[in-house]
Amino acid sequence: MGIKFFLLISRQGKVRLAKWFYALPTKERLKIIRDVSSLVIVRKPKMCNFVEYKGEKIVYRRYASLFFICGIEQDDNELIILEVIHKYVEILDKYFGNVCELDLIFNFEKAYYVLEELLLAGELQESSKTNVLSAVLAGDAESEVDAQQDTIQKLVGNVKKY
Amino acid sequence: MVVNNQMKGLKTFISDLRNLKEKDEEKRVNIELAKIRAKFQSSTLSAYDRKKYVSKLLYIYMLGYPISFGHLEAVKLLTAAKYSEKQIGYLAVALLLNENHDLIRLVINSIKKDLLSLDSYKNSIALHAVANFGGREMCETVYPEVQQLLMSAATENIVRQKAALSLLHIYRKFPDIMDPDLREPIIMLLDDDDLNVSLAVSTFVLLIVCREPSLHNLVCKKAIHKLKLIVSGRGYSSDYVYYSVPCPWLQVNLCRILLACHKEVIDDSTKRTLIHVLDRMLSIFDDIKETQHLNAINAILFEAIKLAFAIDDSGSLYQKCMNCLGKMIADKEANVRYLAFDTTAYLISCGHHIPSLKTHKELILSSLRYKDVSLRKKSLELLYMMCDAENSKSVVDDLLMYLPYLDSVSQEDLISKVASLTEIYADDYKWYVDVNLQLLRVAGRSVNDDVWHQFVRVIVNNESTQQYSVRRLFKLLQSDSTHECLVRSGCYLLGEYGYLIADEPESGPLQQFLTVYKKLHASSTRTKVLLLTVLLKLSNLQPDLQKRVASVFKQYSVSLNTEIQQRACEYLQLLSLPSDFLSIVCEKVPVFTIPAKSQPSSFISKSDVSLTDSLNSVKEFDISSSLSGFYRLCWRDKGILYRDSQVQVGAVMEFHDSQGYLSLYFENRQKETFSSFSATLLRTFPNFQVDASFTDSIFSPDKQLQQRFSIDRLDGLFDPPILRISFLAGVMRSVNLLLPVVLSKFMLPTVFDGSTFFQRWGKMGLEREAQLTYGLNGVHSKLDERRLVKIILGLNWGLCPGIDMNPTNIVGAGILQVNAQNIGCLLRLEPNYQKNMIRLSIRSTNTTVANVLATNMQDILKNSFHSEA
Repeated sequence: MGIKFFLLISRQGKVRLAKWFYALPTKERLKIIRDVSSLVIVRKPKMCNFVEYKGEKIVYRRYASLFFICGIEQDDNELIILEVIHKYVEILDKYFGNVCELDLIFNFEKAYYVLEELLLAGELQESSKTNVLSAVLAGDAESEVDAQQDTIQKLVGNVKKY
Repeated sequence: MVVNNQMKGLKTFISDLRNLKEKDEEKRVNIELAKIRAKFQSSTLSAYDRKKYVSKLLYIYMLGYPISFGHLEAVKLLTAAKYSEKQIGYLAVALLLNENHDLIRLVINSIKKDLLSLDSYKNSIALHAVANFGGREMCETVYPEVQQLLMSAATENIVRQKAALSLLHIYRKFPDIMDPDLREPIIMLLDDDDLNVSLAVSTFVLLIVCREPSLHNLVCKKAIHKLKLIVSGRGYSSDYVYYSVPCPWLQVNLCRILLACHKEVIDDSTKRTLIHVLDRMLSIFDDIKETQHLNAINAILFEAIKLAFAIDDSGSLYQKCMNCLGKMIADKEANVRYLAFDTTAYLISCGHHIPSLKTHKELILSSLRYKDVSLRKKSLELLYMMCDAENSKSVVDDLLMYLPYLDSVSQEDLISKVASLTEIYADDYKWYVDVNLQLLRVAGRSVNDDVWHQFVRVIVNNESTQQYSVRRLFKLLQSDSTHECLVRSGCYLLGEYGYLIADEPESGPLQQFLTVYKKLHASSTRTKVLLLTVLLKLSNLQPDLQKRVASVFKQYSVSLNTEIQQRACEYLQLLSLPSDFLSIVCEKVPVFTIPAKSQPSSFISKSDVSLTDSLNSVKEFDISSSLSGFYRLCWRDKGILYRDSQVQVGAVMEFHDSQGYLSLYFENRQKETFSSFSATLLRTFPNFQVDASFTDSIFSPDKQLQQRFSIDRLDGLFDPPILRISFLAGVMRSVNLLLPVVLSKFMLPTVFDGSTFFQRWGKMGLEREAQLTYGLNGVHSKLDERRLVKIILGLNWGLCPGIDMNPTNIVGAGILQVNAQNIGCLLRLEPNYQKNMIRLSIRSTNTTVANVLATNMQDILKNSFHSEA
């Protein structure tokens, strides 16, 4: 299978996003996160973007203060995964408008939604950037309608009270 | 651009946590958890609050704290009608619930409902859940809906691609759930105009190809076709161009698919097409601008090189591949170099010969000293793979040179690699011993147990090496600073084979004893116990030493370590027993039974999919729909093989001697265009080949698609080939066609006069006769003489009129050429026109041929007299 997990880790080792594409107990997830981030964080910029970890390949790339990390299987193509990461970053950048770590902290669920539209079952499902973006925005619009309805109902409730 | 409808409480909470110090964070989290728990227990929780608190839980979970409650609230959100609640609900369930959680059943029902919904947002979000965390129960329950979404023409493309990947998840984890008949329609979807659907399907096909060798043929054609389209710059919109590379993801997947089924690329035209496509792919190496562009191009190049080697590792592509690889190995960028090493090592492991690699050896060697541990590891792997009988000595020397400069992890890796190389390529035991001793001496710290165990085993098993190694080891042991691995292996062998050097002046029994004794004090417990045994063994072979050894044992019999103490006491006792008892206990170690290493095996060949189960692909196929056409064409050379409301298949044949051609013409009888048309042979025989085939999978009404087959000679008996055509006409349609290639087509009619005929008839005798008596199929069938004669002539029998006593009987003869042998065949057919019965007798020099001809003729005659009514 393609991507087994997708992590966003800050330079200090804090998890900003962790998406798993196979079932694993929480304890083991935490161990992998710990191991992999300690492997990746110490690497120098000129080094290659691949590390091996327990028979799996780790592909990562650093953007500003964040490490984007993918765990993939032995026979997967590393470079193409590297570009999946880049694609994700580009979409986040478009979505948030010059994205920074803070955006992803305060809107962590959005980061998940965007990733959900990009990757499914560990595979790239949508290679067009605009399509991913419009799917996410459409989802946003859908919940926006809900939010408006909420407000209206609240107002109606308030009016009734008086 | 981001829509900000976020919960304020959540934001405050997050920024609160960010302002706290590490140790206060936990306190704050615990307070918050208690608050949320209380809120969840109150009966008046608004949907908004529920959403907010579940979000908080998720954030806390992400920070690494365990979450033990709130699962029910997450499920409630998931089942809510509003999309915004659903979204959080699905996210929370994905993160918090594992696939065996008690609540998962509730979730499954709700997912099923969302899949059935007409709202595509709900479909999508439910498909995400299935694809990302569907367990067995969920997959079983929702399988029909997922399949429906994928196959229905009404589904939007965006939902379709999600359905494809959800189904992939199901097929990957629980292959038994998926309907096997669905595999073919999925392969057909590779042709979909929407590149995303193709992309989603391509990963699926890759898995199918790995599991189902029987489908390789079909997949192969589709994949080549699609790859050709993309590479030649057609069939995609600008949306799918990633840094001026058209959909690199799909290209990579297609290459990998083709690599998995490259064995199916046999016929020349397919091979030519593929080579042409690969040639184009390998040519875009030059004008590269940005990192992204470079990565995308290189990702494809690496796959293309692997594929090119698999298809043809000596032809025109070879030089191109070598150039690419050479450039990449020398590339300054670490990623490219890493992957170039990886790919080269892979190619060598597949058995490809890459002589020009030797020019890069220095460069690869120097990569061993890079700071980057990944690159070091890869270069070591590659050097290991490059090693062959010819260059093994020089590679090992080079590796040893680098040994002292490496960090301990790489040292360990290198040592095990070198050790196994010496074992594989040792033609001279001195070399083997020297290299291994050097490993133990220079980097003993990094030698893992496997390596020195193996070394000891090899020495024990090879008598010729024993004296030499023991002498060398003895010398090395004189040094004060020796690593434990060296001490262990050295002393062990000294205990076994010390007697071989006991006559030499500087290594007499006493020196041997002193050497071991000196090491004893400074060693770890594990080594100590081993050394005690060595002393016992020494004293067995050299009785003079017994006193000294006994005093050592005495000294250690009061050791605080129980293991050492026990051994020392026991050994002391042994020494006091009669000496023949000791010699039995201290027998020489027997030869170890270990499997010898034969070749470098660090790489499992990635492309070779198991082909062993391809045999069961020859199952019974449903061919009923094409039978009437088949029977007719058995005795005619052209006509309609199959026709229904959508498609018509015409056939034209030409046979003479043992050669033949068959052309099939496919016509679309509807006004609309069908897509994804393909024709594959389900059953064939060795000399039956596809000569030329249509290349386009678009099946438009105004066009005729053609496929041509040929047979150049007949080596034996065969079953008529079966061809499967399939296409998408709203839904997927497929028809199996039995091709009218039968034995009688190859027969040469001959005519005999009466006496010759009956002479031969008698000679062949009853034992080589196949006789069948039968009536016709169908109530209204009527046996008709003119038609009967026509059919018999069509079946290539030469008629010999008037030689039978009964004038209604039909007598004929023919010659078959099978495997360069002439087989004579004689026919006598006795029709009964009143009763519509036939008695058929065929005699032949080969009984099997007679049987085949007779049954075949029976089938044809039975079904060829349907009256027009």
